[in-house]
Amino acid sequence: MLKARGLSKVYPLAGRPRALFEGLDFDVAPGERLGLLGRNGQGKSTLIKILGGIIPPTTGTVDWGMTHSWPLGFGGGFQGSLTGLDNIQFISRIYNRPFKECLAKAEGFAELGAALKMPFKYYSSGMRARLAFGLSLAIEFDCYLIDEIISVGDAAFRTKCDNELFGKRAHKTFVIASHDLAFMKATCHRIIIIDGGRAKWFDRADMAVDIYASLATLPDVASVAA
Amino acid sequence: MTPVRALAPISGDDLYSESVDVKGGAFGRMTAERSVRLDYVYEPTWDRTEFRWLDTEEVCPESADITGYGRVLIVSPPREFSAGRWRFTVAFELCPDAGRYPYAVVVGNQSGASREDLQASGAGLYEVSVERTLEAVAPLEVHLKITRAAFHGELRLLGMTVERLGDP
Repeated sequence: MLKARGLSKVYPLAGRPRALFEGLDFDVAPGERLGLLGRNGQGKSTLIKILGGIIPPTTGTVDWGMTHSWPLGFGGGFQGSLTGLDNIQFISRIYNRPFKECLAKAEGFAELGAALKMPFKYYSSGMRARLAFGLSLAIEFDCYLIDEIISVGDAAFRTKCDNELFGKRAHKTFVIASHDLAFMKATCHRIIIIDGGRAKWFDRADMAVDIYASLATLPDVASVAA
Repeated sequence: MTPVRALAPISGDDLYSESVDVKGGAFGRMTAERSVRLDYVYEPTWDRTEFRWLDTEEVCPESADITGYGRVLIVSPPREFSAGRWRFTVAFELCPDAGRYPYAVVVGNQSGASREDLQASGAGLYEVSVERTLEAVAPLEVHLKITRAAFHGELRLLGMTVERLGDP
């Protein structure tokens, strides 16, 4: 069980504190799929990074009762001057997994071929996503943190991601940030919407998607007040 | 108006549902002349406690959360009215978040309904009037709807005045 308690993230903006979200409490049970919806800059990726341990929350705690991936779609865990191969070796050691097995699985998914011998910093965003994704599948986590990974790459890559994650690993836990409303509605059990410094939990994904679609065309509070 | 008896709630028509138009184009009937901000002390004919908050099926609370689908928020007690031209004026207050959404007041029964839409323009007090003519004695129910799905906001119902304007 993932337990988040009292999570907040506050950034300084123009000399003033700006809260992305405050007092956020939620649980994610094994096998559940939690979606995160929010317009750009509202805090979806920040929340994913907090859950993944990439950045700390301003307040609150995250207790993981299961293993979790790094945020897929986030390249920060890779060392740019190392080759793809070296990165695979580095990460397999960190997670205490056999290198050869990880390499075979990661390469089988990523299909980078000779590019694995190139430094990671020369990879395109699609290549980075494929390597990150393939490696996370090789290590096998209980919970996958997904930040718009499905939108990276071509149609074949998306189909492959979909099959690997929601086909072969349908029993796993997922926390997914995406703007794809049809996908979120079909995939997630529950959804958190982050908007205007407020985060709300919805037990019904269809309601959350409906609300988020409505938000997209709504004037913001400041413009209405003016 | 003398309520004669309470009736079964209206059902089976479009009064309880609201199709959500995410493009925002279906709510153009802004009623600026009929939906005005109040600048006086409001004395309702029917006060808040006579209405139901439909999410909970309980008495309308002093302040209620509008989060959810576009839907009927508040329902009046169903009452029977004599023949004539009637005006129903619902007054409510919106917080800044709730002041971004469109609302509608619907007065009717199973044989038909009259409706006025309001696109709120910020926090404040609003009243919306709806007129309905009855050719004979008939039951009527008043609904206050939010016509788009809402992320956050609070609504305070002040009450409703009911006036008989004349013969049909």
